[in-house]
Amino acid sequence: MSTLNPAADLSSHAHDHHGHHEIGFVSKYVFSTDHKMIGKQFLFTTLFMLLVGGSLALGVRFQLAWPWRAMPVVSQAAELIGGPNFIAEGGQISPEFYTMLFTMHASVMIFLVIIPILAGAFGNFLIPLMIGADDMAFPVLNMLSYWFMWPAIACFGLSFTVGGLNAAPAQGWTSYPVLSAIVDSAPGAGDAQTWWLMGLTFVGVSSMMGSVNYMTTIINMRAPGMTLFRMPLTIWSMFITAILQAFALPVLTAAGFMLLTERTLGFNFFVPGGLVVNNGDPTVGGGQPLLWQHLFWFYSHPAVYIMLLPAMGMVSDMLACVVRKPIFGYKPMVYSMAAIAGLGFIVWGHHMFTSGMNPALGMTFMISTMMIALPSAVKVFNWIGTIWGGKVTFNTVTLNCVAFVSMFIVGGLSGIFMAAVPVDIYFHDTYFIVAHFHYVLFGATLFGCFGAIQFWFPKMWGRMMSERLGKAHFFLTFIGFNGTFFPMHLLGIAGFPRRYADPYIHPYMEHLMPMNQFITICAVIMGVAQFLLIGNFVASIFIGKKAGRNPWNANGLEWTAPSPPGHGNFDIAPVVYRGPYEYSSPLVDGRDYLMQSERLDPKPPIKGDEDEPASDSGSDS
Amino acid sequence: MKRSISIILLCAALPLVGCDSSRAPSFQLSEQSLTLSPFAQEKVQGELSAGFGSPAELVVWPELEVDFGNFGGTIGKVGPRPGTIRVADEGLGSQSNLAGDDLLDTLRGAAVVISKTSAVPESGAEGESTSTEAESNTAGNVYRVASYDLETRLLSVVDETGQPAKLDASEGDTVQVLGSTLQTGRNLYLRHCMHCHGVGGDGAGPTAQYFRVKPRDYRQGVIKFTSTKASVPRPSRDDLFRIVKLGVPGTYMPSFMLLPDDEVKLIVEYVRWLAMRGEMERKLNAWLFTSYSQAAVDESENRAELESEFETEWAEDSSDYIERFGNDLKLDWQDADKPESVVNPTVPRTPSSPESIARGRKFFLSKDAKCASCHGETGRGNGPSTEAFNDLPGMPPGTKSDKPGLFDNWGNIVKPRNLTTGVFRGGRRPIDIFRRIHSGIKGTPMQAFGTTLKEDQIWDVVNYVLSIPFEDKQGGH
Amino acid sequence: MVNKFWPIFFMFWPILAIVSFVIAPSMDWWFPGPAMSPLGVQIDNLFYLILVIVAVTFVGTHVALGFALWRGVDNKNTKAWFSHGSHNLEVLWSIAPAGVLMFISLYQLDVWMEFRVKTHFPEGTTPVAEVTARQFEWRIRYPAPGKKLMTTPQPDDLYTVNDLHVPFGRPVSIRLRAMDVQHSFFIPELRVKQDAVPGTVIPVWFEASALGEYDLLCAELCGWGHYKMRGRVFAENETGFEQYLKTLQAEQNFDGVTQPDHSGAQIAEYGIEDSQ
Repeated sequence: MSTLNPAADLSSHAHDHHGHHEIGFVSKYVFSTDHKMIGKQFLFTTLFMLLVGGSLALGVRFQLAWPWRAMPVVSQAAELIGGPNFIAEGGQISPEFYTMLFTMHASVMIFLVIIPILAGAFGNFLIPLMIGADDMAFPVLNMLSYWFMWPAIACFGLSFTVGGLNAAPAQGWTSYPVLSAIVDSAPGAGDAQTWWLMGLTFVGVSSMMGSVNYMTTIINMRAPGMTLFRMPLTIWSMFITAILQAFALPVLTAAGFMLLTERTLGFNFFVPGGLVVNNGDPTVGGGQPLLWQHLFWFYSHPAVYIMLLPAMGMVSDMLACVVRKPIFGYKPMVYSMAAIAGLGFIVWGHHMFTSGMNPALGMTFMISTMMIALPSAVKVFNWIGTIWGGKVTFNTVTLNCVAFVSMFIVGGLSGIFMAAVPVDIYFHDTYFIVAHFHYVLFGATLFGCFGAIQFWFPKMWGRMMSERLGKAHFFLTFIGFNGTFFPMHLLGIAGFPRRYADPYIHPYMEHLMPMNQFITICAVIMGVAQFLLIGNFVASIFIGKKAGRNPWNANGLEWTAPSPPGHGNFDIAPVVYRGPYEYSSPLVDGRDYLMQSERLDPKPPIKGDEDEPASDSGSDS
Repeated sequence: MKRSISIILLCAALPLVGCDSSRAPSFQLSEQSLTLSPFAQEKVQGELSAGFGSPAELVVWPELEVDFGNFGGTIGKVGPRPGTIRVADEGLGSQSNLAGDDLLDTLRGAAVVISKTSAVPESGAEGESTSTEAESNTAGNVYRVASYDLETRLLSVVDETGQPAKLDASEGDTVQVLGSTLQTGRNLYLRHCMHCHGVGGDGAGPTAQYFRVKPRDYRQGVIKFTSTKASVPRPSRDDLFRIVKLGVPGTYMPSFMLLPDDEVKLIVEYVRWLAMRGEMERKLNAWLFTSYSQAAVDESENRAELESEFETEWAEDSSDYIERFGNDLKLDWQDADKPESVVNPTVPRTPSSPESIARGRKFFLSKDAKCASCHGETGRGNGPSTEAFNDLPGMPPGTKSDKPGLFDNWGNIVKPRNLTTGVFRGGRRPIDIFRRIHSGIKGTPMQAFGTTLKEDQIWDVVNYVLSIPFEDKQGGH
Repeated sequence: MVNKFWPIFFMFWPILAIVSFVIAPSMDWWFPGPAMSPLGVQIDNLFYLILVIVAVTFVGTHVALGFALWRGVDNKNTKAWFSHGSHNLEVLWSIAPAGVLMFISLYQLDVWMEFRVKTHFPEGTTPVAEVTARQFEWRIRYPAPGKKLMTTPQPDDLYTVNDLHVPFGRPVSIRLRAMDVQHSFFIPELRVKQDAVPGTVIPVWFEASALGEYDLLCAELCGWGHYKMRGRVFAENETGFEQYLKTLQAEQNFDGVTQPDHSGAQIAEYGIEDSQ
C-alpha cells in the first residue's frame, strides 16, 4: 500500500533535509548513501570476486584433468602469500591444497558473488527506481550493508594467508563438523577456518541489513497507484528474497557462532566424546555432528532460493520487454515465487538423506521437495507462454534470458532425481549434484545476471553496452558452460565422487579422464570469455553509445527517470496507473509499449457501443 | 573497441604466466648439509647428483643394493636420424610383462647405456661399474630415452640438453635402458607418497607439518617397525612391503592394501633408494663437517687457505671415501634381506594361559625390565619416564634432553605405546609383538630384549600384552 | 535465414544433450555396471522411470520453447499477442505436474523404508562386521569364525583394513562407525551409501547378488586423504567366507613358527609372506 499522498510530494529531492550543498568525493563515491551508487559498488565488487572464484575453479579443473602435474600460478601465488610453495615438488599440489580450492571456490561464489550481486547490486539499484521511490527507506543502513562486505572479504582473504595456501579453509563450503570443529583434523581447520567463519558472519550481517531495508522500502515507499499486484516481478522477487534472508539467516549466524565458540572457547555443540583425531587426546564431547547440518541447511536451502528468485524476477521483466508481450500469468508467477520461498523453509533435509538422520524425516522431506518442483514448473511454463506469440528480437538480453529458461529447465529436472530418496542414495556427493546446482546457479542465475547487466546498464551509466561483444560473450559462455557442466551429469551417473583430488586411483574411474579433460578445456574457454564481459562493461562506461531514458521501450518506472538518474531519481514523483507488462496494448496506437506511469485519457464511449470501455488495469488475470 | 579487445586478451593471457610444464621435482640439500661451508656443499651436491641424480633424471649406481631394473636389446641399426636406434627383433622390454603404455611410461626418461660387449651386463653385478663402461662408450655423457615406438622398435635417445644424442654405436652392440623399474617406482611415489614423505624422503612434505605423528624420514635408513634383529639397523624389503600394504595403524600412514603387489614392490625399491641417498648425504656430512663446516670457516683466519686445503683433501681422498660409503650402503642393505637377519622364534608361542600371562606381567613390572617406567604400571603409556629428562638418543650416554619426555632419533617426542587400546603400530600379531620386544623399536628408546630374555620369556610377555583388556569400549582399531 | 540462427542454436543443445545420454551407456559414461544388489536394481528402476519422465518434460518444454522462438522471430506484426495468461492452462499445468510428482513420491516410499528403517530390513539379515571409518582407511572388525558379532570388541575378534569380505546372495549388515570425522560408506556397484557419523553406530544392510569384488569409497569430505580411502568389498560364497575368516584368524595369531593354512583365502594374494 502506498502511503504517500500524491498531492504533497510534487518534487523529489528539492526540499530534502540537507539542501543543495555539494557532497565531497568520499560521500559521493565511497561512503555513498545513494542506492544507485551502492548498487554499482556491489556490482563492481562482485564482478571482481567472480574472477577470483572462477580462478579457484580452474585450479580444481586442472587437477582433475591433469592430476599431479605442475599447476600454473600456484607457486608464484604461494611465494606472495606464504606457506608451502610446492617448488621442490615441481609444482605438484598437495591434496589439502585441492580441498582448499573447491572450498574457497564455493565460498567465494556463494557468499561474495551470487548473493551480493542479486540482492546487493540489482536489488539496491532497482528497487527504489522500480517502485517510484527516491531512495531506500534506510540509506545509511544501505551504505553499511555494502561496507560490511569488505570485512568479509578481508576475513576470507586472511584465511588464505594465516598458515599459507596449504592451510586455507578446506572443509568444504558446508563446513561440516567434526572436520571443521577440531582444529587438528585437517590442515585447513586451523586459524583459517576461524577467519572463514568470521567472514561468513560479516556477509550475514550485510545481508540482514539489506533485507530489512528492502522489505521496508517495498512495503512503505511505493509510488501512488502502485498496488502490490502492479509491482514488477523483479520487485516481488526482491521482496520475497528479503523475507527469506530475514528468517533464515539468523539460524546460520547462530550456527556459525556455535562453531566459533566450539573451536575457540572449547564449547561442545557438535563434537561427540571419545574421538581421537590426528593422535590427539580423545575429545571431551557431548555434541552431535548432525546438529550443524540441520542448522546449516535450514539457512542454506532458502539461500539457494535467495540465489535464484531475484534472477527469476528480473528475467521475467526482461523477457516481457524483449518479446513485447505481457507476462503470461502474472499472479501465478507471484504465487509461485511465494510458494517456492515458503516451501523452501521445509525442504532442507533433502541435503541430508544419507546423513544418518531419522529415516522418517527422509520421507517427509522427500514429499516437500517434490512439492517444491511444482511452482518452478509453473514458472517455466509461464515463461514459455510469455515468449509464445511474441515478437522476438535476439539481442544480448534475449539470449541470456532464453538461456536462463533453458538451463533452468535442465537444472530443475535434474533435481527431481535427487528428490527421490533412493536415487539420492546413489547420487549424493557425486558429480550429478555438482551438475545440478551449477545449472541452476550458473546456468540460470548467472545468465540472468548477464542479461540484467546488459539491460539495466544504460540506466546505470547512460550508455549502452556493446551488442557485438555481448553476443560474443554469450556465445562463448553458453558453449563453454554446457560443455563444462552437462557431462558432469554423466560423470555422476558413473559414480564419480565429489571433492576427490585424484579419483583415478580407483580403477573404475580411470576411463573418465578424457571426459574430465574435455570439461576442463570448456571451463577454460568459459573463463576466458568472461573477460569479454568485463571488457565490455568497463569500456562501455566510458565509450559506450549514449542512451536515452528508455532505450528498450520498456514499461517500468525506472525507464521514466533520466539515464543515469540523478539524486532523488525522478524529475517528478511518478503515479502508477497500470501494471508493468502492458506491452502491445491495444489502448495505444503506433507503439507496442505502455508505461506504468503514463496517463491515458479515457476514450469517450462510442454512441451505441455495448462494449465496456477498455480497462486500463489489465494486469490482473 | 579494438583497444579494449586487445586489453581483454592481454588480461586473459595472465593466467598463462604460470604455465611452466618443464618444472620437475628436485632434491634439496638437507639441513645438515646446509651447515657446511659453500665449497663443501657444492661438492656434496655434485656427488649426490652424480650418484643419484634428480627425481626427474635418475642416475643408476649399480653398486647399490637396488633393483634398478633394466631392459636390454641388441642394436639392429643406428640412424637414420641422429640419436635413433632400431632395436633388433625382440625389441626392448620383451622379457618383461609390461606392454603398451605401461612399457612406454617405464622407458621414457630412463638412462641409456650402449656397450660394445655382446652380453648384457646385469645391473648391480659385483665389481662391475656400468657407469664406467658408459663413460668409455658414450664419452661420459648421460643419455636418456626420448621415445620408443613399439611397432617399429625405434628408440630415440637425447642427451642432457635434450638434443638428439651423438651415439658411438654400431650394429650388434647392446643397448641398455637402466633404471626403468626405479622410474616406475618414482612415478608411484610421487603420486602416493611425496606429499607427506617429501621429495627426498625427509618426512617433510607439504602435508607433514600438520601431523602430530610425523611421517618417516628415511634418510637415516632406519625404520621403526622391522622384523630384523637389533644388530641389523636396516629394514628388509618385506618389512617395507608390509608397512605399505597394511599401513601403520593409529597414524596417518594409510594402508595401500589395494595397490597391486608389484606396484608396492616398486615403491619399496624407490624408498630404499631414497634412504640410501639420504644416508650417503649424511656420511659425506659426517666426514666433512668437522673441518669444513660454515662455523669452521667463520672461525678460521684464512678462508682461502681452508678452501684450498679442502680442495686438496677432496681430490686425494674423495673417491676412496665415496667407494667406502657406497660399499657400506650395499652391505648394510644386503644384510637386512638375509634370512638370518630376521627375528624368527624357534619355539612356538606359549599358549596364553593365566600362568603365562602372570609370568609376563611379573616381568613387565620388574625392576630389571623397566617396562613400567615408560609404559606405566597399567600399560597406559604414562610411566614416569614420560615426564623425566631422559638421555637423548644417538648422543653419548648422560647427555640429557632439555625437555621432559622421551624422544626418538628424529628429534620428535614419542609416547610409549598405550597397551590398553589394542592398536599396535607395527602389527598386532604375536610375532610382531615378539619382534618389538626382541629387537626393540629402532630409533626410539624402546630397547631390545633379545639378548637378555629367552624366547619363552618373551612369549610370556607377549601373552601378557595381548591380554590387557581394552580400556575404551571401542578399542582394537 | 540469419534470423533463425539463434532458435536453431538454442535447439541444438537439447538435441546434443539427448544424443549424449543415448550414446552414454555404449561409451561407458554410465553406471559402473548393472546394480549388483536387489535394492540397487530397484534404485536403478526408479532412476530410469524418472529419466523417462524427465526426458519427456525436457523434450516437451524445449519443443515449445523452440517453436515459440522460431515463430517469434518471424512475427512481423506491429504488436505481439496481447495476452495476460490463461486460467485454464494454469490449472492444467499445475495439476498435471503435481500428479506426476505425487506418483513418483508414493512409488518410491517403500524402497526407502526397506533400505533405512530397521524394522523393514529383510528377514535374516545378519551382522557380519563392524566397519569403522578413520582418516583415511576402513578398519574392519569381524567376529571369530562361528561367533556372532558383539557390540564391544572381543578378545578373539579379527581385524583387517580396507578389505571387507561378505557372503553373497543373502542380506548382510555392518555396524558403521567413525573414529574421527565424518565419512561415508559408498559401494557404487551395490548402490549403497551411508554417512558414518562419529558418536553413532548405524546399521547398514546390503546384499551382493553375485560373487565379485566391489569398490568401496568414502563419500563425505574427511580431509586431505578423502580420495585415498579406497577399500573393497569382496562377496564370496559361504565356504569361501568361512575360510577367509579362518585364514584371517590364523594370520592374526601367527607366531612366526606355526604356518597358517592359506588354501582358498584371499590374503595370500597380497603377498604377506608367512616367513615374516
